[in-house]
Amino acid sequence: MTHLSITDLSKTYPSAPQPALNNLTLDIPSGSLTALLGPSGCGKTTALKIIAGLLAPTSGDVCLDGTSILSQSPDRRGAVMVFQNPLLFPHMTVAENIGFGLSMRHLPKADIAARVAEMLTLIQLPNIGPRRPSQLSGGQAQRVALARALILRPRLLLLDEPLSNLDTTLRAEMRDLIRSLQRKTGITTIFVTHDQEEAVVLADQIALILDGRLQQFGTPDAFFKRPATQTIARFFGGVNFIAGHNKGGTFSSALGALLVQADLREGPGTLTIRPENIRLGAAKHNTVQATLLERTYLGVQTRLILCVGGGNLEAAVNPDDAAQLDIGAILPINLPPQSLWLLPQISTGANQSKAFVQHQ
Amino acid sequence: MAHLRRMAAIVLISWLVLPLVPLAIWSFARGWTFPNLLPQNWTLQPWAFALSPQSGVLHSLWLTTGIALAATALSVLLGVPAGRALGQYKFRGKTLIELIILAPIIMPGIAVAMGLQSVFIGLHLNNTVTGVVLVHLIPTLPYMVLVMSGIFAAYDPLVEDQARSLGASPGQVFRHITLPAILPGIIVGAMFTFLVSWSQYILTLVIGGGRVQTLPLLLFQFATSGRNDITGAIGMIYILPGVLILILTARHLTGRSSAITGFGQ
Repeated sequence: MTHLSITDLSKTYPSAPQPALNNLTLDIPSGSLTALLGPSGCGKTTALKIIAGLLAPTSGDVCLDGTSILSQSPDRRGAVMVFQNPLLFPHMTVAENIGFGLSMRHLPKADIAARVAEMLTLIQLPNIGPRRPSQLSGGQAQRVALARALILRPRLLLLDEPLSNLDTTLRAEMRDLIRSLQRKTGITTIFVTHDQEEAVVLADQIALILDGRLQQFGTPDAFFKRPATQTIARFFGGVNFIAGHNKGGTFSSALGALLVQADLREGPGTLTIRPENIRLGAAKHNTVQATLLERTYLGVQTRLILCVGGGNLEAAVNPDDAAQLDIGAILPINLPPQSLWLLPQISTGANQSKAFVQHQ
Repeated sequence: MAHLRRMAAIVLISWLVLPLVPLAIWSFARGWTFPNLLPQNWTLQPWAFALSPQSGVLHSLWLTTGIALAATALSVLLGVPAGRALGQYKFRGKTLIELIILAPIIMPGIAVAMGLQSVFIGLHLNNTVTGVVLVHLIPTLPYMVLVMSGIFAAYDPLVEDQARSLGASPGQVFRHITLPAILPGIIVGAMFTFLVSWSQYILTLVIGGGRVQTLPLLLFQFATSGRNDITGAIGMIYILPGVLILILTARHLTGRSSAITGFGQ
């Protein structure tokens, strides 16, 4: 069980004007699975390599259980990195690959063999020990790479895009394997990904990094309910943004005065509500009249495009409730106060030009 | 596949061995004149002379071996890092450097030798063994660099990071990861280097100034003086390393060795 804390970590490559990593500060609880999420080139792999000791930071500190590890060489840190490519050593068998770290520590051969067999069972490939890496499929090679790291019982496991080279079926399988192995071993794990769905499904908490800066750090749930900026909200499927001004629990906008929760920040801002939180019908608070512009049946949900106060809102509602609605009809909808979240008016830090892979 | 391999072996053998048959026969001949298919009389005289101290063959043999080994060692020391740089990194002027390394193979040896002679005289390296070893690097280094850049182009340096992260010290990484990956290339490159140095004539003649009497120089002396029998005997000794290396690498040359497929990448 290892608690990792990263303080003001920065890295500027000599050839680049912009820092690859800019004052990253993160506190990662012991035994948790954390995703570093961001588009390629945002600095997340740089962060992982610094933690692994394969790259020296320009400034900042990395501590395991309160002790700085920056002065330790990568082979002594107990922070083991697994790369995007399996990088199996081609001149060794699968068993020799998995046992590599232990044989570097000069453990007795019999002990190594026993633990290798244990790992092969754990990754559900018990019979591939004598094979050569060239005889493995991509998914098998990735699992062997994972076993090769786990056998060392590291204090910290660092996974760099562990799923990106796999096809869809294998990806789901490997994702479940990583999750279950992590739960079973309790090893504090950080994985890097550009795939927000992967981060949401797999991680206990997500650190979103854009342009080398940490944008938001929290549970997957927080990214949906309380995104820090409009960019983050959009990235996690937010589509409804209402400009206005918040004062004393009332948000004034083109939709009229809306009641919001009292703890939201005062002043100008952008109000957001997730499509699935918009309700049909009138309620005690925040009822507005909307014109139905479009209706799309999606099976589990029906998507409605509604015109309110000169702008459009998107709602996702129960198909049974939406079946009777006619296009062009005027209907009451309500925006429950507890579902409204206020964003700063201008999204800070991030620029919107970065493209993300987004799963529909 | 097995059939193709056998064909390749037969072609290699007839290509390389058949031309040597007359040479071998000459080395045991006393008088072999035109209409006769075989010599009238057989003798060991040419061999006895070749192996005697006054022929200078044994001295030349050791000298040639020493020069070839030194040139090979230097080629490995310079060629492996150069091959790594060219095979793994992209940098400004890379194409130019590749061209400069390959240029001596493209240029006629005599032109290179003549140009270098004045430089070597200035450095007092002419007529010395050191000078000959250094000048042998010109035709040998390109082979080494080419083979090694092919090896390194197919080698992902991240495996070294991976091994480090898995707990290997820098020394262990080199011993267990890097060396096994590049050793086939080093062996093939070193064999090429040895043979190219071994058979070097013009560069040795010009830079050695006739004082550094390697086996090819000696062989040429006897060949031009019309002693076919002694030429035959020295020739047999001269081809020995080539034959040995051919036997050792035949499997690589006819099979799909990584060291050979890397060539010309």
